[in-house]
Amino acid sequence: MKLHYVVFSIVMSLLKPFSKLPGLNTANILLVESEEQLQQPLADVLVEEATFTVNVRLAKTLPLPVENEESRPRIDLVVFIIHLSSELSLQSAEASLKHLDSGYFLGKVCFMVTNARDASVPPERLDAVRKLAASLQSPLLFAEDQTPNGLTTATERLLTILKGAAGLVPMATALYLSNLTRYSLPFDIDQPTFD
Amino acid sequence: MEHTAHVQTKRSRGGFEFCLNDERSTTTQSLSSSNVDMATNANLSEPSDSEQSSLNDGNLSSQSSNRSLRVAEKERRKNEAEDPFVLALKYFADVEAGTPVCGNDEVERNLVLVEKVAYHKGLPPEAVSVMLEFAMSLRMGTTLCPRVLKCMIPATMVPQKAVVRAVVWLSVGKIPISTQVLFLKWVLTMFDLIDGKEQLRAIYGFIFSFITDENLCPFICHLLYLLTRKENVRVYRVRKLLELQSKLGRQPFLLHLLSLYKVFCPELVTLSIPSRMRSGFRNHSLPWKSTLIRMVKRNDSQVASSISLALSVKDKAGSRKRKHNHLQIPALHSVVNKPAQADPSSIRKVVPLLQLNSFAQLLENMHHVELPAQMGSLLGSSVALQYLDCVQDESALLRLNFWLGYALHEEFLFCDGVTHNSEESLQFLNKLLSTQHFLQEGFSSSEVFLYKFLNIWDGSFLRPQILGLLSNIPVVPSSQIGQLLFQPLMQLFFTSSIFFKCGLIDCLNNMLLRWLTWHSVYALEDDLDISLNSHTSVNMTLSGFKDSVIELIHFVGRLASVGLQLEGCHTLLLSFVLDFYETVCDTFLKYGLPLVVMPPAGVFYPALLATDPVSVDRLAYIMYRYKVNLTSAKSQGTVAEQAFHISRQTFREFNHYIIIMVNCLWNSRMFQTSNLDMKLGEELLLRSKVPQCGARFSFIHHPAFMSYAIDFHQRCWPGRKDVDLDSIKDPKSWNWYLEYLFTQGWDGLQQFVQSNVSWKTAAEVRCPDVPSSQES
Amino acid sequence: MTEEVLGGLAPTQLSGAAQGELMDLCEQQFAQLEKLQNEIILCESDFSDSPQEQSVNRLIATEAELKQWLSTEPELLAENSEVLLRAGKAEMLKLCSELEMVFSCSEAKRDKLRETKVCEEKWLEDKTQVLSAAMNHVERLKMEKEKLSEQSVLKDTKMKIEKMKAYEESLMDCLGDILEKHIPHPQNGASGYKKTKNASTEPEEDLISLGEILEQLMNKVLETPHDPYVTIDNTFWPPYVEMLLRYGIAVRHQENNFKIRLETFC
Repeated sequence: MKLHYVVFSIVMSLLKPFSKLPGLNTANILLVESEEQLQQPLADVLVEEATFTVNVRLAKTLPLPVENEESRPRIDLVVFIIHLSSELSLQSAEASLKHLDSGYFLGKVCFMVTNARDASVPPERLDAVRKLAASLQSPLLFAEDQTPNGLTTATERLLTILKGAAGLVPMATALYLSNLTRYSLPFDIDQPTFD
Repeated sequence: MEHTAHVQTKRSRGGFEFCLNDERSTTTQSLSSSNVDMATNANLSEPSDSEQSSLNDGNLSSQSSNRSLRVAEKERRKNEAEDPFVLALKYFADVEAGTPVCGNDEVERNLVLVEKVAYHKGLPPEAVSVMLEFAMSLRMGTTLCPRVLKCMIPATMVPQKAVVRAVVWLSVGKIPISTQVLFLKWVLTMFDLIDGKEQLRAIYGFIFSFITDENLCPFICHLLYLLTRKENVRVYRVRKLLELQSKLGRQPFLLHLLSLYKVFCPELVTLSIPSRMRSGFRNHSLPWKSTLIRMVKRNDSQVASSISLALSVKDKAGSRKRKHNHLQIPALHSVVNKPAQADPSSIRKVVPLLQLNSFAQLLENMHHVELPAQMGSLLGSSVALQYLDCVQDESALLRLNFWLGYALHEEFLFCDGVTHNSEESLQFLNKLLSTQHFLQEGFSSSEVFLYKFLNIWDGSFLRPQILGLLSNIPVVPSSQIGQLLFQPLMQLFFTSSIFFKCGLIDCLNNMLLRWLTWHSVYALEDDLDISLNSHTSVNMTLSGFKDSVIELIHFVGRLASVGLQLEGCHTLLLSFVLDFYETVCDTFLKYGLPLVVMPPAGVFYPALLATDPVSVDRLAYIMYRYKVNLTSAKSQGTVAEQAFHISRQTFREFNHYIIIMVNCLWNSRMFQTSNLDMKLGEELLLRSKVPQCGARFSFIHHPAFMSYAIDFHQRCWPGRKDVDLDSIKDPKSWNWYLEYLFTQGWDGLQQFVQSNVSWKTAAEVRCPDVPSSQES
Repeated sequence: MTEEVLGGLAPTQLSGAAQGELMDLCEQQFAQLEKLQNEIILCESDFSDSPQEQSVNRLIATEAELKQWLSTEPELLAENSEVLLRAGKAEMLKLCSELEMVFSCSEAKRDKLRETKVCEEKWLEDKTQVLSAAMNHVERLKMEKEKLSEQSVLKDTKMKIEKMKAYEESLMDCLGDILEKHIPHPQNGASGYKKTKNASTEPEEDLISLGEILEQLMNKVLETPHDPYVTIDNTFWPPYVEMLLRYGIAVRHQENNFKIRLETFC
C-alpha cells in the first residue's frame, strides 16, 4: 500500500482525491489562500464548530510541497479563498487550480469570495470569478468575513460541504451534493428583459 | 377669450413702457437674485404683497450674504476675532477677482485651513455659501475650483440659496466642463442636505436648459428627477427629451426622467417605458459620501456645540436624525415653506405633510396634502404612509421606489469600505418591511435589489430582513423565476445550515401565501387579467400566474425532498415543509385558484413514516384538505362553466397516496400495495426477521403511535402483565382505540379517517373510499 | 456509512457479544474499503483534465452513480438486540431534541401571529376611519355645491381674474426690470460695451430692444395663433435673435429661415 503512493507522488505533483484511505469519522479540508489572512481565523472556527473530527490544512498556493506528501491525509475538500480586492488573489487561485486532479472537480472543490459588496472592486473581477466557478462546476460561497457572525456562517457552510465531500452524510455523495450546489452563471438583471 | 384679448391690448398699449423709468431701474437688484426672484414668483400661484416682500428679504440676505456674514461674525465673536478659520473665510469672501493663484501663499494657507476644518468636522452653512460662491464665481480662475468643491463637506446642511447662486454661475458658462460635472455630482450627493428645495424648483426651467449639454445631461436628468413636480411637465420639455433620446439613444437617465413625466402626465408621454429598467442613476460620488459618513459619525460622538460656527439650524430634530444615521431616512421637509394660507378662495390650498402630526389631522386634510421634497422621508412617518396608502399616488410611489432603489444599492451592494453599522442597516430594512406590510405591496426596487443581492449573499447577513423582503416580492413570470430566484436560492439552501433551510422554506411559504392572496383579491370574475402591482404594470394572465405558482411549488418540493434526505428527515425541517403544503393543499377553496399540486414522494413518505405523531397527523390533515379541494373542484367542474381541468395525473397521484396511507395505517397491508414507491425485496424483509412486516405502520404499531397503543392497552386491560398490542385489532377495541386517539387532539387523523374510510357504520368493510374512483 | 453510524454509538458498556458483532461489521466494511481503494489507485483515470471536458466528466460520473444507487439494496442493522435498543434510544433522544425545537418554533410563530393580528386590526380600524372621513368630505362638498349660486361663482371668478391680472402685471414689471438692467437696447448697449464691441457691427438707428422683440412675438401668438411666425427684419439685432433661439425661447420656421415664433410654453 504505502509503496504505491510514494511512487505515485514522485510521478505526479497533482493532488488526487482518492490516493489515500479515509480516516474514521474524520474529514480533511485544505484552505488555499495567497494572502494568508482569512485562513487562520477560519481554521480556528472550523475546528471549534465541527461535530466531527476536522483536520484543517493551510496552503498559500498549490502544488503542495512533496516533503509532507506522506504525512498528509487524504484531502476531502479544497477551498480557494479569493479576495476580490486584489487581482493577485484571483490569479494565484487560477494558477493553483492546475495542480488539482480533475477528480476534485466532482464535488471536492469550492470557492470562497470576500468583499463582493465593496464598491472599489471592479465588477469584471467578480464576473471572472463567477465564470471560473461555473466552468469548474464548483460551489461559489460569498463570505462576510469582516464580522464574527459572517465568519461563523462561512464556517458552517464549509462544514456542510465538507461533510458531504468526506462521505459523512448518509445516502449522499460529494458528486450528488455538488450537482445541487455548483455555481451557474446568474442572469444579468441589468438587461431590460421584457420591454 | 375676452380675457386674453384684454390682456393683449393692454400689453400692446405699452406693457413695457416702465422700462424707461429711471427711478425703477435704480432699485433693481443684481442679476442672479432678480432671476431667482422672478422665477420664484412665477412659480407661486398665490402672489401676495406680504409674501413677495418676504421673499425679497430672503434674497437680499442671500445676495449680501458675504457682508451680513461678516457683520454677524464680528458681533458674535468679538472675543475670538482672531479665529484663523473665520479669517480664512473672510479672505475668500473678500478676495478680489483676478488675484493670481500662482505663488500666492496667502490663498494656499487659507485654503488648507478651510480644508482642514471641512474634512475634520464639516463646514457650517455660511462657510459652504462663501466657499461655493468663491469657487463658482471663478474669482481666482479655474484652477482652484475643483479643489474647493472637493472639500465642500457640510457639517449640518447646505443653504439652498448657495446652490441656486452656484447654478446661476453655471450658466455664465466659463467653468470647465469637468468642473461643471463635479459641481452637479456634488449637488446630487448633498441633495438631502439642502435645506429646502422650493427655490431650486423655481429655477427648474433654467436647470432644464442645461440638458442639451451632452456631458451634463445624465446629471441634469437626475437632478430634474429629484425636483420634478406635475406642473413642471410640459409639452415642450417632453419634446426636448424625446429629441435628445433620438439623438443619444435610449439612455437610462432619459428614460427615468421620461417615466416620471409619464406618471405625472400620461397624456403627454406616449412613449412605452420598459417595465424593468436599469436601476437608478449611478451618479454617486464616493469620496464625498464616505467623508460625509465619517464626519457625521465623528460629530455624533462629540458634543453638539463643538461645531464652532453652528448657527441656527432650523429643524433640530431633522439634523439630529441625520447625525445618528448615515443610512438616513431623511427628515420630513416641506416643499412649501410657509403654512398654507387660510384663504378660502385660494385655488390650490396645500398642507405640507410635515405639519400633520396626527392621524386625525390627516383625515381632515387628506384632499390637499403636499408631498415632501424627499420621498424617502415617507418611510419614517406613519401619517405619510397612511396618506400614501389612501391616495395611491402613482408618482409618489414611483419617486419613493426610485429613492429606495438608490438607497438599497448604495448601502448593500456598493459599500464604500467604511465599516458598517449593521444596526442601522437592520433598522432601515425593518422599517422598509413594516412599510411594505402596511401598504401590502412590495416595492419593485426592493425586488430588483434582492435579485442582485441574492447572488452575493452569504445566507446569514441580515437574514430575517432579507427573507422578509423576499417573501414580499410580487409574482415573478415563470420564464424568469428559475434564473432570478431558484438558482441562487438553491445554492444557498444546500450549502447552509438546517436553520437557514427552515427559514427559506418559511419564506417561500409566505411568498406563496402572498401571491395567492393577491390573486384572490385582484382576480376579477370574468376578466382573467390580473395586474398584481399597480405601478409596475406587470400584467399577468391567469395561466401565467398559475405557471409561476406551479414553478414555485415544484421548486419547494425539490428543496424539501432533497433537504429532508440530507438532514436525516429532521423534524423541524419537516414541520416547515408541512406548513408549506398546508398552504398548497387549499389553493382552490381558500384562494380560488383552480390548481391542485400534490407533494412529491420525498415529502410524503418522510411525513407518513415519521417517528412523531405530529407530522403524521399534519400529513393526514393535508390529505384530508386535498380531498375536500379535489371533490369540490370536481363537482364545480361538472356544474359551472368556469371549470378547470385537473389532470388525471393529479387524481392518480392523490388516489395512490390515499391507498398507501389507508393500507399502511388502517389495513396493515403496507407492502402489499401494488405500486408502493419504496421497493423492498421479499428476501430482505424475511432476513430482517420483523414479524408481520405489513402491520408495522398501522395505528397500533406505527412508531409515532405505539406509545398511545401501549397506554390504551394498559387502560383496557389493566390486569394483563405482558402487552399484546395485536389484541387491539379486534374490531370493537379498534374502534375504541381510534376514539381514544382522536381525543388526544389528533384532529387531522380524525378528519382523514372520517373522510376516507367507511368507518363505524360498517367497521368490517374498511375499504378506502376515494373521491375519484370513477376517474381512474 | 453504516460503520460510522454504529461506531458513533458504541460506548463501553456493551456486552461482549454485541461489541464483537459490531467489530465484525466494522472489519468487513474496512476490508471492502481497502479493496476499493486499491482498485482506484491501480486504475488509470480516463478523465481528461481540460476544463472544457469538466461537464462531460461530471455527466459520466453522475450517470454511473445513478446506476449504482438504483441497484443498491438497503442494508440491515446489526442483529444484536442490545445494539438495536441503543440505536433506537439514540434515535428517540434525537427526536426529543428536534421536537423541542419544533415546539419553540411554534411558540414563536404563535406570538408573531398575535402581533400580526393586532397590527391588522389597527390597520382595519384606520381604513374604516379613512373611509368615513372621505364620505364626510364628499358630503361636505355636496352641501357646498348646493349652496353655490350662479352669482357667487361669477363673483369668485371675477376675483380670480383680478388677481391673475395683478399677478401678470407684476410679472411684466419684473421682466421689464430685468431686460432693462441686463439686456440693454442695442444702441445704448453698443455705447456701453465699447470694449467688447465688434468693429463690423455698425450701430443702426432703427434697431429695437429685446423687450420689443418679445412683445412682437407674444402679440403675434395671441393675435394669429394659426400663424405665430414673425419675420425678422433689419430692426432685429442678430445677437438677440440668436440668443432667443439658443435658449429655446424662440423657434425658427422649418422652411423659412427669416421667420421665428415664440416657443409654445404650455
